[in-house]
Formats: sequence, C-alpha cells, structure tokens
Amino acid sequence: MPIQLVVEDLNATLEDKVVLHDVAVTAQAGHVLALMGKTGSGKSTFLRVINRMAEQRGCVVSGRIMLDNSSIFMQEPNDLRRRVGMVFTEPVLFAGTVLHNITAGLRLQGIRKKQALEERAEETLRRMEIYKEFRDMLYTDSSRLTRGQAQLTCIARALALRPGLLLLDEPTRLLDAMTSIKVEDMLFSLRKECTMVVAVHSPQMAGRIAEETAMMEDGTVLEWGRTSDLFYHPQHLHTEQFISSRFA
Amino acid sequence: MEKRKLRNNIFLAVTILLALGAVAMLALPLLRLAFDAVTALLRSWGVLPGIEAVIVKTLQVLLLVLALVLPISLLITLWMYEYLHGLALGRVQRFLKGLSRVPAVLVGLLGNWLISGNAQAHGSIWSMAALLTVMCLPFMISRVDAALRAVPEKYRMAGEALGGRRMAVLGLVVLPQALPQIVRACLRLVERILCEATALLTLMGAVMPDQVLATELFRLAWLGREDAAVLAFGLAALMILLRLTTTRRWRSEGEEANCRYNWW
Repeated sequence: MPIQLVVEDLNATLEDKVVLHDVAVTAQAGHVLALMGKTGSGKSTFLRVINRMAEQRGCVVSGRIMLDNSSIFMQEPNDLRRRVGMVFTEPVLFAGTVLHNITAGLRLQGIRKKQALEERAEETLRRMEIYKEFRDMLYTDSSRLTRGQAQLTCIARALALRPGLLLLDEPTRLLDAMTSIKVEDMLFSLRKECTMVVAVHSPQMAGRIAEETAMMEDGTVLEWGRTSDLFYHPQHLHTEQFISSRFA
Repeated sequence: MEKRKLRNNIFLAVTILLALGAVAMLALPLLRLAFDAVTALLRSWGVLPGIEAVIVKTLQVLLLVLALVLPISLLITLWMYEYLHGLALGRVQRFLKGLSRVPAVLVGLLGNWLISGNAQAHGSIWSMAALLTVMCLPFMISRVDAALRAVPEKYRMAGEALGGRRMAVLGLVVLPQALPQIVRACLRLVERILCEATALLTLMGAVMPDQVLATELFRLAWLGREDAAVLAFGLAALMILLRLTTTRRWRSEGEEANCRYNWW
C-alpha cells in the first residue's frame, strides 16, 4: 500500500557542514514526487535521510519526517528500510543469479524457501510488466545483464519487499534514451502501488512522471508544488533556468 | 556511549575467542579420530608405506592446516572488518603483514625450540599442522581482510538499503562478492604449505621418521638420490598446473603488486 510522506523543518549536518536546511515537502500516497536540482543540491542526501542511511554515515538530522503519521525516528532503521525501498543511480548487482538478486531483500530477512522466493520474484516482475523479458534470465548470472536490465533488476529487488515508499536516486542517468523511457513508463505505472520520491537529473523526466516536483538548491527546497504549476509558473529564477535547461 | 560500545566490543571478542576455543576442543579429537581411521584404512589396502605414504601424509597435513586456518582466519577477519576502525585497524593490519613475512626458517626454529623436550612431537602430524598454521594464519588473515575491504562500499549500502542487518549483509552480500579473492588466497595458502614447508619442518625435526613431500624432497636430495629430481619436477608441474588453471578463473584486480609470494 502506498504511504504518505510528510517532511517538515528538516535540517541535516555532516561534519559541521549544513547539507539540508529547513526542507519541507509532502509526497501524497500513490503520487510521484520529483526532486530537481543541480549536482550537490542535496537531492541524494535528502533520499538517504528518509531511509536513515545518512545517519549511519555520520549525518546529524533534526526535524519531522512522517510516514503515514508515524515518525521515521521512532522506527528501527532496518524495519524502516523494508517499508522504504531505495534504488541507486548505478545499478549494484550482487554476486549470483538474477533471481538471487531480485530476492536478496527477502533472503536478508531470513527467507530461504526456494518456492517462496521464486513466487515473489515472478509476482514482482509481473507487477513491473517485464516478466516475459526476464522469465528466461532468472537463472542467468547477474554479471551478464546489460546496464538497463541491471537497473530493472535493482528496481525489482526493491519492489520485491513490497515497500510503501520507493526512493530513486537518478535511476535513469546512466541509461540510454530508449531504456530510460522504458524505466520511466514502468515507474509511472507502478505509482498506485507505492509512493515514489525520485531525484531526477533532467526536468523532462520530472515533467513526464511526477505529479509534484520540488526544486532544490544548496540543501534547501526553493519551491515545490504540482509539476504543471511549477513548470508553467516558476516562482524562482533558478527554477526557471533549470526548467529551460540552462543548468541541465 | 563510546566506552559502552568499547566494552561491548571487548565482550564480543572474548565471547568469540571462548567459543572458538570450545569448538577447537570439541573438534580436534574428532579430527584426530577421522585421520586415524583414514590412515588405518589406507594401511589395510597396502597403500602405506612407500612414497604413497608421503603423499597421503602431505595431503593430511594440507587438509588439517586448511581446516584450522580457514575458519579461524575468517572469524578473525570478520571481527576486524566489523569492529576495528581507524588507527587500531592500521596497526593490526601492519602487524599482521609483518608477521606474514616472517621467514619459514624462523618459524621452524621456534617450533624446534618449542617441541625440543618432546620426542613424540617430532614428525607428528599435529605438531606439523600446528606450526604450519602459525606460519600461515597472519598471511591468510591479511589476504581475507584485503579481499573484504576490496569490496566497494556500494554493495554494503545496497544491502543495508534492503533492510539487512550488519551480519546478514556481510554474509549474503559482502562475503560472496569477496569470494573469488578468498579462493585465490586459499590457493596461495596451498602453495605455501606445499612449497615453503621444507625449512620449517626440517628445522623442527620432522625429516625422520615420517616425511611430507617437502621434507622427503629435501632428504632425497641430501642423499643424492635420483628420485629427488622426479619429485621436484612433479611438485613444480603441479604448482604450475594449479596456477594455470586457477589464474584465469579466480583472476583478481587488486592483487598486491609487491607481494612476496606473487610470482606469476
């Protein structure tokens, strides 16, 4: 089930340097929230703060981050990460087969039954509408996949845990145009199953898949709102320049 | 908070050491029984004595050393990986690297001194294995540690992002990623045991009455026998074959360039 994300007064410092400052955004349940901004604007840090991985790397976080009205800081990080999936820019495949990778999250939880793992992998791939493509590759060594297939496998790996919120850190930046479109279509069709927060490297991607978009700059949110409003009536010069691709 | 963490780590280390001790106390007699049974079986088939006996004993020593070195080095390395950081880690790594480069002759002299009062220990498979284990442990720990640390942080992050606990991520994500390097380290270990044990075992007095290949080779060469050349050729051919068949399969990017034992 998709969950709502509400962030208020979020501040984060890393080694005495402010990396996020007074961030406040909301992702409605079942919506896609896109985070736009230059490299180093704090998009990736924001995503890592939400699943509490930033804290693990020494980031000091304060503020309110609520998932369906419960604070993430009241939850055990590992339990939280099972509800909040994450996909990185670079597809990171573990040693082993494709099936091994898709079910890695379940195996990390101690589920070992082969049949249960296969069923969950099949169900996940069907939800993503890529089962036909992957059916014959489930027992292929993951090192043989193309980069596009590897990224799809990583998304499947995150979705196999049935998260309510999925964080994606520029998931198509390293993919070619055709594969990017395929991934975007798939993410768009999945948004009713889980809320998504996507850090995007281009405003076009935000325009194609996101209901809401936030513009980030130097660790703060300059403005955020419905994607169409932000694109047609940007309130800030930086947003206008980014949308018109002067930065992108 | 830091003190508490340190106390927890010390407690964990002591617990692991105690557990290892308990396992060793339970497992060693069982291993000894198994070896005795195998030896008796081979003797009943008429395989022993002769050069076959030397080969069998070599394999026994090899397996015994591997059985001792692998689990101990893996456990110590996992502990180092999880709980040692910064300055302490650097010091331990330097110490281990230094120990791993101690010449076999020195370890042999130490072994000779240690067992000088015990006639039964001379030529005993257990004393040989113990001494070889002492020689090989630092080398193996250094190699396994290097293999684990060569796994990029992104793998660990990806595992943690799936909600895996530290040890689960280590066991299911990091360790399989480091496996090719660990297998490679095992093969180097086999080489060391087969080829570098001569000085060590000769010095500890293992030449008579029972020999392993390394010391048998030494003895035959000393007596000026032709068998020495045949054995030397066989051993060298075996080593080269091992290298040829494994280098491609377990090729590693991070092979230590200045490693003393990296001769390929």
